[in-house]
Amino acid sequence: MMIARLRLARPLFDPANGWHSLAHASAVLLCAIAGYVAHLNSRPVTSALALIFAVVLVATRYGLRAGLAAGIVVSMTYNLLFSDPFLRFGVADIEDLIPLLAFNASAVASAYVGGRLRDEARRSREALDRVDAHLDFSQALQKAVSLEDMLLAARQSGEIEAVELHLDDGRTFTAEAKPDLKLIAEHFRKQGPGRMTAPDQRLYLADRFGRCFLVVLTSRTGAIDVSAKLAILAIAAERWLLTEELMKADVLRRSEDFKTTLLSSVSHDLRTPLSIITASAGSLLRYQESLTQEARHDLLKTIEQQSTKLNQLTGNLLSLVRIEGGLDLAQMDTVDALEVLGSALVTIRQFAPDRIITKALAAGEAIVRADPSLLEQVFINLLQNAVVHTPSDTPIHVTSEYDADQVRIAVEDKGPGVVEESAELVFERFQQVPGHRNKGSGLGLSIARGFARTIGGDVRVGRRADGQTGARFEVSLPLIVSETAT
Amino acid sequence: VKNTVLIIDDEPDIHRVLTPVLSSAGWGVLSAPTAAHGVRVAKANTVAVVLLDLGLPDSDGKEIIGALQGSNPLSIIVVSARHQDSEKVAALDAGADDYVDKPFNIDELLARIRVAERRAGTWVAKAPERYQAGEIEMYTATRQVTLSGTEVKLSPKEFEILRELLAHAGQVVTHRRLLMAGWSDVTIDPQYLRSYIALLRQKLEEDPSEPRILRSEPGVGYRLSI
Repeated sequence: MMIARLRLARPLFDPANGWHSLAHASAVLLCAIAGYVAHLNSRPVTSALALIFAVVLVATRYGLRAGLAAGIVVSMTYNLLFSDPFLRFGVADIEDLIPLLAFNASAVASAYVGGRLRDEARRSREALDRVDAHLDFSQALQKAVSLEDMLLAARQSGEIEAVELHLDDGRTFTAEAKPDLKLIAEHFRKQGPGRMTAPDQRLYLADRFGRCFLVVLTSRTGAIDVSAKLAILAIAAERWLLTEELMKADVLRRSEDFKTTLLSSVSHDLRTPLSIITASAGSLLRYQESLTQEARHDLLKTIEQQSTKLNQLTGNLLSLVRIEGGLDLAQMDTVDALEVLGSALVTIRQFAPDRIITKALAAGEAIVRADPSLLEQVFINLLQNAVVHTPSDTPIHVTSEYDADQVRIAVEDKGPGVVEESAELVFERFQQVPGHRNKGSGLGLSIARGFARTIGGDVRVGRRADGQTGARFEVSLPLIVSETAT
Repeated sequence: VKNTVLIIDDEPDIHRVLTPVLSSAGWGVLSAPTAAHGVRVAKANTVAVVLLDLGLPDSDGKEIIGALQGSNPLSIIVVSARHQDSEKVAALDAGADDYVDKPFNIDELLARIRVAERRAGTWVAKAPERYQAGEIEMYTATRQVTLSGTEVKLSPKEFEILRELLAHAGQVVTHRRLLMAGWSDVTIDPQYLRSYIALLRQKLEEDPSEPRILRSEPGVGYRLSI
């Protein structure tokens, strides 16, 4: 029968939508009964309107086809039961023909209009859902930080059951590894883009976008949407690849720059003390007899000093490589920065025993999370910087103060100070301010700042706090809240 | 002839530099280029102090600390170019008595050997009743501590920490060992230890912010200098 073969836009009784369907069916039935009752009471117009309303109800709910079917059923019912002659098609009176035709036409027209309206509404709702789904998918892709995340987002967006992404460089990414998909992906990669239906009616789809070759397994109905999704996915993947390349290039360039500068500087900075040591040792070996006791002692002293310098340089280079290689703050101990400063002061006094170093330190502990050896190196480097770059008869002043959640430790000297233009330059690796070349290695301040920043602090240079001539190098370090401080 | 020092190092120049210096200072010197050789020499001779390199060709120097101490009451000073704090702590916790970084200052190395030599014969002896280092004196029976003859009042924990440092005066004592001495528990937050060291410095140091007696070895422990 015709009704049986109708494909309804929705099932006649949908359990999920039970009460709605039931109410609707009751309304249709009520209209039909109302039409019949009106007919029995000789109210033909009311009867006809009630029946047409029933048709409209069916059409708006079940779509154009069901509406048309209902329209035809109602026309026939009207012809058979309501209009004379009873239980027969055709008209008894030619005057009855006009209202009958009008009724039939109205029923069909109502069905058509109502059904079309309903189908259009459904289509636009579906289109909107699809756009929303694609937007959601795009957003999920934006949030993804790796290609794996992107594929996972694709799988979670529905319709895509499994997906593999093959890049031209040979890398393969997959979400939900399925052995059969792997085989089919292999086939497609040889044959190029295409589609293949599995025995269970699911669809394998392969397509190429730029450098991305995508193979998916999908349920058959979603095929059109899946193609659109693949395009969106491929664009996101391509963007990710570009970012990856840019980052790689940048890291490579920076590390190359670093190596070049390091090598050229190291060869210079290592050779200077080495050549002094070689020359001194050579003189001692060859001219031992002709040298005075004092001259021999001077040469030996020089060898010792230059060796110390070499050792400090090596230590700084190792620190630099450690900082460059990345330090894990979480693995560091808690230390009292002021205690470490005390050690650094003791060391620097051994290095420069005649230098006047005064202190004004705040009381208490300054607990910070830091690598103790590197932190000591920060202080030693700043103190050494002051010792080396300022006249030996000028004092060095060390201060510490607490400032909200950080401790500030400063080394102030009475040298010429740092001109504002070169204020940042002093922290550059291997850079030395004109007029101060060859006094240090050009690494100390850079390491001090590099490490301080690694642990969330900083090193800055400025004017002395008391306004006198001289430089002030200030380390600021974030304090950690102490649970056990006494 | 004084005691014997055994140098275990695979670098021939180290032997060449140290042998004449140690000999002229009066020590007998034995040399070993590998860990296995070093252990054999230590067993066959009476050795007071071992200078042990960590990066040996046949095994890590840390591995033989136990074997070296097995035969003789000797002191081990790790002399290594490995500057990581964790390496030092591991060697000290494995039983080494002290460490010196390479490159070393020869005066400092000789001073450390002298400290180690003094302790070498006493490590199995009963804890002494009196300790002395510089101006500090400690009488363990009466739990009295004096600084330049003046009595210093210490809390029980301060006393135990100072006793551990005095017992190893001149040598580094790891945080772990000090925590054991003060709390008998190594899981205690080292921050407590730092607080007690600060208190001790207030009582013993001329300038607690620049300590000369209770020196800290960042990342490793503390050293009571003599």
